[in-house]
Amino acid sequence: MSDASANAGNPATPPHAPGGLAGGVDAMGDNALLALHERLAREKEEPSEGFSLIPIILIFVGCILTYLGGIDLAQHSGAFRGDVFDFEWTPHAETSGPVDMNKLGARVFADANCKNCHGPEGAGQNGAYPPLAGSPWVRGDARRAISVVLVGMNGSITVNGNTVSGGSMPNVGKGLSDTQVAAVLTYVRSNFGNQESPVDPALVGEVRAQLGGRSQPWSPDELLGHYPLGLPDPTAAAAPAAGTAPAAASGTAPAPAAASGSGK
Amino acid sequence: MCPCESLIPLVDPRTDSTQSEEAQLGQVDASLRGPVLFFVAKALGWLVLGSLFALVAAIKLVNREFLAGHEFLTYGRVFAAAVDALIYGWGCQAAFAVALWLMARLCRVQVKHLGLLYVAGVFWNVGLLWGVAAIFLGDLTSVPLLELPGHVLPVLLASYVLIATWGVLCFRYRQTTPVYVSQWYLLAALFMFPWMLFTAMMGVFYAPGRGVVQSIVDAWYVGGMLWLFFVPVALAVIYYLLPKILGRPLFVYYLATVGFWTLLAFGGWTGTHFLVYGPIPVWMQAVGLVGNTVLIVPIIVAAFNHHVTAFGAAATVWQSPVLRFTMYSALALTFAGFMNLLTSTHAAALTISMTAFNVGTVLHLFYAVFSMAVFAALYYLLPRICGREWPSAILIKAHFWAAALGGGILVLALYYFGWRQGEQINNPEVDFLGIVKEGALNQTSVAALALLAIGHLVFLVNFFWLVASAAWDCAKSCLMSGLAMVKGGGR
Amino acid sequence: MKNLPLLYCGIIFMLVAPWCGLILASNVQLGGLEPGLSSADDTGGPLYPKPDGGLAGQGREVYTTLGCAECHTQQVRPASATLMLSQKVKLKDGEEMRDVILSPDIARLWGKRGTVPRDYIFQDRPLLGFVRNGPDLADVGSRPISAADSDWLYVHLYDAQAVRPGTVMPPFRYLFTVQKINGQPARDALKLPDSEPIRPPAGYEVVPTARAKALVAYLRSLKLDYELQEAKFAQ
Repeated sequence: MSDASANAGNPATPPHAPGGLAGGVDAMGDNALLALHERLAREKEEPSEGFSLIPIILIFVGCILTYLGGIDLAQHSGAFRGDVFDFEWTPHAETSGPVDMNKLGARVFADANCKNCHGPEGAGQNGAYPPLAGSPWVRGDARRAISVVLVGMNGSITVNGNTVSGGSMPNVGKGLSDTQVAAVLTYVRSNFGNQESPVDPALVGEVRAQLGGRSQPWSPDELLGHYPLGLPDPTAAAAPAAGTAPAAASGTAPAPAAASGSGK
Repeated sequence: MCPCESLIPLVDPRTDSTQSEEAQLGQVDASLRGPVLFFVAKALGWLVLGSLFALVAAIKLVNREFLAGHEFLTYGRVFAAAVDALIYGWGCQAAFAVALWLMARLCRVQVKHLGLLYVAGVFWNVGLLWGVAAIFLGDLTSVPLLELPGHVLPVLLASYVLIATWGVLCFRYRQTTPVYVSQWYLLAALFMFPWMLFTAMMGVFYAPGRGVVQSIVDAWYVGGMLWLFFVPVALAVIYYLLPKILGRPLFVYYLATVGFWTLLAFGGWTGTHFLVYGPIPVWMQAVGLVGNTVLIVPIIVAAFNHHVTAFGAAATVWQSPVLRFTMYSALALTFAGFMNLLTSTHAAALTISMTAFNVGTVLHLFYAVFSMAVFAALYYLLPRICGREWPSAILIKAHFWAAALGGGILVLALYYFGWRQGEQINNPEVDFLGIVKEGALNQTSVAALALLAIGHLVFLVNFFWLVASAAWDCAKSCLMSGLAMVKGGGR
Repeated sequence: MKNLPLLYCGIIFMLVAPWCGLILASNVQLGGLEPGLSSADDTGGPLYPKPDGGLAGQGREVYTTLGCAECHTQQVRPASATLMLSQKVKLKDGEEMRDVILSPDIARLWGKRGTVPRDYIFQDRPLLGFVRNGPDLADVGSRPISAADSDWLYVHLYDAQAVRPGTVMPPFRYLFTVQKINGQPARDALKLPDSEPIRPPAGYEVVPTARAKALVAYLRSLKLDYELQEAKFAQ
C-alpha cells in the first residue's frame, strides 16, 4: 500500500497526522509552522544579510511599473471619456493632409472583389466579365459607373468586342462609403489606359441619394437611358483637380466627435 | 441579553485546546470527513464530465460532422456546458472543500452542524445540474462564464452563503493566535466570491446594464473570479503545503503581506483586458492592461517565497506527489505573471485580442495554477481525512503526468497558435478561410484534452478506491467490535 | 498580520474600489446612452441605432441558444493609430498608406467602422463574443451579395462546406426540412450546388424552417451602415 513515491520529506520525521504517511510526511507540524512564520513576519524590522536585496528589487519593479502604468493611464486613456475608443487620442486633434484617392482606390479594388472578376489589369474575362480597360462605360459621365457600383447590373452587354450575356454585377458599392466608391472609380478611370477625371465623393453621395433605397439592379438599357455612352463628362469641371479629396480628420489623432472623418 | 448570544454556543466550533496538536488536528479532520468527501466526490464527477464535454467540443472543431445532427450538441452548447461544469462544478466545489478543510485546520476548530453544509451542497449540485441541462436544451445565455440560465445563479449564491459561512465562522473562533498567510488568502477569497457573483448576476440578468455595460460587468467577473478567487485559493494551498512538507521556513515570509495586498488591490482591475479594442471606452481597456501589468508584483513575491524555499530540495519535491503538484502550480503562476506582463502592451494586446490566446490565459490560471494546487491539497488531505494511505501510487503518477502534460500542452498550444491566429487575422492579405482551416491548434487540443480526461478519470478511480477501502476498514472494525460485543454478551 | 480590523476593512475596500471604478463608472458613463445623430451638424437626421424587432428579434434568440457566439464575435475593432502602426508594414505591395486609417477588421471589410457602445444599446444581451473561430458578424448584413446569390446565408447554414470548402463551421441541417417536391419546387427551396453529399436526392428539395428564416433575418439585420458622431466610417 504505502510506497516511496507517495511519501515525502524527511523519513526521519515522525508523522503528525492520524493518517500516518498519507500523501506525504509533514516535516513541520501546524503549531511549528504558525509559530515559526509568526516570528519570521516580525523579522522585517531587522533584516538579516541577504534578505534585504529582495525588497529593493520589489520596490524597484513596483516603481517602474507604477511610473509606466501612470504614464499609460495619463496618455492613452482618452482622458477617461466615454466616447473615446483610440489609445492614441489627444484632445487637440489636428487635420491631416488629403487622402490619396488613387492608393485608396487600389486597395478597395482588391478588397471589394472588383479584381477577382475584372482582373488585376482591368482586362475582364472573355464572355464572362466585361473589361474595364478602355471601356466606354467607364469613360465620360461618372454617374453611370457610380450607379452600377451602387446597385449592380444584370443583363447582356458588349464592351470592346467582348460580349457578356446574362452578366450579373453585385451591388458592391452598397457596403462601401462614398469616399471608397469615389476612390475605386478614380482608380479605374485613371488606370488600365483610361485617362478620365477623378470622381468626387460628393457626387457619389448625390447619386446614392437619387437612387434612394433602390435594390433592383440596373438593366443595361435602363441605365443607358439615363446616361448614354460616348458623351463628354458634364461633372468633370466640378471635381477637384489633383486627384485628391479633402479629409475631415487626421491620420494620427482623430477627435472623438469626428474620428477618422468620412468624405461625406 | 442579546438573543444572538444564546446562539453562540450552538455555532462555537472550538476544539478542546487542552489536547495535543495531533489529537486536535485529528478531531478537525474527522469532523470534516463527511462534507469534504461529499464536495470532493461531486467536484471530481463534474471534473470528469467537464473534461469529456471539452473533449467533445474540441473534436467538433476538428471534424465538423462529429455529432452534427443533434441540435442539443452544437459546438456552442457543448463548449458552454464544459466551461460551466469545470468552473462551477469542479473549480468552486473543490475550492470549497479545500478552503473549509484548510481554514478549519489552521484555526484548529471543528465544523459543526454539518447538515447545513450537505443541504447547501445538494442545492449547489442540483442547481448546476439543472443549469447544464438547460444549456443543452437551448437555454444558454452566451455570456462568457455565465452561460447558465439566470435563474440558476440565485440558487448557487444561496448555497454558497451557507457553505462559506462555516469558513468565516472558523476564522472567527480560531484557537491559534498567529494568523498565517493562507488564512488571509482564504478569507479574502471566501469574502470576494459572493459579491462578484452577486454583481454579475444583477448586472447581467436581474438589473441588466445597457448594452455593453453587461459585457463590462461580465469581463470584470471573469477577471475577478480568476485573480480574486481561484488564484488566492491556490496560493493558500501552496503557502501551507510547501513549508510544511519541506520543513523549511518560507524565504521572505515578511513580504507575503505585500504580495497579499497587491494581489487584492490589482486583481479586481484586470478583467477589462479581455475587451481590449472592443466597443468599450479606451480608458477601461487601459485600466485593464495596467492592472494586468502591475500584477507582476504579487507574483514576484510569491515566486521568491515558493521557488527559493523549494530550491535545493528538488529531490524531495520530485519524490512527493503532493509537492510535485504544488510546485507545478507555483511555477505556472510565475509563468502566468510574466505572460501577463509581456502581453499587456498595446501592440501585443492587438495581436491576441479575440483569439484563442485569451482562452489560454483563462485556462492557465484555472487549470495549471488553481486545479494543480487543488490536486496537491486533495492528495494531502484525503488520506488524512480517510485515515488511510492512497491505494495506488501508479495511479497518482499517471494522474500527475496526464494532468501536467495535458494541461501544459493545452495552455502552450493555445498561446502559440492563438498568437499566430491573431497575427494572421491582423494581416488582411491572409485569406480568413485559410486561418479557419488551420487545424494544428484543434488537433493539439483534442490530444491534450484526451490526456486530461484520462488523468481525471484515473484520479476519480483512485479516489473511490481510497474511499471504498477506508469504508471497508471501518466496516471491518465495526464488525470486529460488534462480534466482540456479541461474544462478550454471550458468555 | 496583527491588525485584524484592518484586514477586514482592507479586503472590503479592495473589492469596492474596482467595483466603483469599473462597474459603477461604466453604468454612469454608458448606462444612459441614447440613440444619436450621425454627425454634430446634422440636426434633423434620423437617430441611430434602430431597435431591431419582428423576425430579427426571434432570430437573435436562435443565434443565442445555438451558441453561435462561442465562435463568432460581433465587434469590429476601430480604426486607430495604434492599429495602423502594425498595419503599415503589412499593407499590400508594401505601400505605406499614411493617410488611410485602418484596422485589420476594416481592411477585411468586416465593417466600415469600429463598433462603439451606442451600437449595442437596444440589445437585451450584447453578443460580443470572445474568440474568432469564424469571421466577425457585426456587419454581416451588408456583405456584398449578388442578386443571384441572395440565399447564400441559407446555404451557409445548411452546409457551409458548399460555400467555403474546408471550413470548420458545422452544418445546421436541423434548421431545414428535406421534403419531396410536390409539382412545382417550393419558392424558398435552397439552390444548392451540385456536389453529392450536400444536394438532396433527386425529387427532393431543402426548405428552411421558421427558425432558419428568423436566424437569417437576424443576420441580415446586422449592419453597421450608419455613422455615429463618435464612430465615422473609415476611408
